[in-house]
This record gives sequence, C-alpha cells and structure tokens, in this order.
Amino acid sequence: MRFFRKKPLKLALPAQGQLLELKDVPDEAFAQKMLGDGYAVDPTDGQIASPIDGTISYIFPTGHAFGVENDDFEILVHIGIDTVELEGKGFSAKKAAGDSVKAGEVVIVADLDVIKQAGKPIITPVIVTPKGERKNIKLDLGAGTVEVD
Amino acid sequence: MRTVTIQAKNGLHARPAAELVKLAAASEGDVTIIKGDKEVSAKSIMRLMSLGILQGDEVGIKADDAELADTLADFLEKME
Repeated sequence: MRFFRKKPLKLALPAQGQLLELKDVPDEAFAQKMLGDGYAVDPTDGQIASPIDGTISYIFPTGHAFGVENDDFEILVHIGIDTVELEGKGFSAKKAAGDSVKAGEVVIVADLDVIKQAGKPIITPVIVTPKGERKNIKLDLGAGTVEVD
Repeated sequence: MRTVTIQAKNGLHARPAAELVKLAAASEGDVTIIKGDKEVSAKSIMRLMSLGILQGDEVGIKADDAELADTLADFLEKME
C-alpha cells in the first residue's frame, strides 16, 4: 500500500483574512515553532472557525484558544497574541468541549476591536500536530490555502 | 505525586505550556499533570491546554523521575 500516495489533506483558515507563515507571528514562542508547526491568519473578521472536521477537545477558560482534533490532526487555534491577558473579554465561545464541528464552523466569536484596543495583535496562529502519516504542512500564501501531505 | 497551587495570573496558557513540554521532554519516562479528575501527558501542549489551568488551581505532577517532578513543580509554582 505504501506505493499509493495519500491525497493531501486541506486545512481551512480559522477566519477570513490573509494567510501568513508562523515566522511572521509577532511572538517568539509561535514564530520559532516552540509550540509546533502550523500557519497563521491575520483576520479581518472575528468569526473564528475550526480548520478541520473534528471534535472540540477544549476551549481554554478565557475563550482565547481552543483545540480541535480528528484522526489525522490535533489543532490549536490561538486567537491573537497575549490575549490570555484579556481574561475572556472580547471572546464568546459558541461550542464546548466534546462538540462535533465541521471545517469552517464557528467555534469562538472574537471582538477584534476589543483585542486591538487592548494593544494586542489579532494575528491568529494555528498549531498543527499531525497524528498520522501526513506531516508536511504546505502553505500557498497567494491562494491562501494550506495542505498537509 | 507533587502538588502545587498555580500563582500565575494567566494560568498555564500556550507559552508556559510550551516551556513545560520542553522540560518534560528531557525525560523518557512518563510525566503527567493532573487537575481534578483529568490526568494528561506533560509532553503534549494540546493535552496541557485542555486542562484549562488557571490561577488558584491545584495541580498534581507525577513523574517516574522524582527530580523531574521537582523541576516541573518548581516551574509551575514560579511561572508568570
């Protein structure tokens, strides 16, 4: 079976906006991939969605980050940078741990203006931990698409 | 098992979780963090974040390597 190349899997952006490489995230821990590989989006809209079909693993109590997983990936979506310091202000969870979601389904609604007014970047990193054979995350910055093969 | 109370204002969020994983990864043995009835590997950021550890939470640390348990307890107590 190993002669058959598996089809790359697509990961959705967690929000409308420009796709970025992790190295462009204004935070060392994310930019240096201390949390793992992935991608980021500079959101133009605060409807923050799941990048995959899967199950919500957790919503951090402050609502600024959530985890979602399926058989192929564990994914962490971190809305903005240092937004843990907002202590939940500006974040409203629409899903809970254990909920099934589709890719593109809104998990958290973030008030981007509240985040900006607090002086925090709204750039939203997505950390992808592969569980299966597909481990190479490929970004097409022009098209704004992410594939893993 | 070591037990500590989290002092950090923002709890165990992404950045300290990444640092904790780095410390835990130094050991080949099992290392787990416990909050309430949940026990997860200290080597996975995803699992650590899933605990939703906040200021004031009491957290347990279990490690095959007692020295590592002390290191992690120290980190969790002092992280900011």
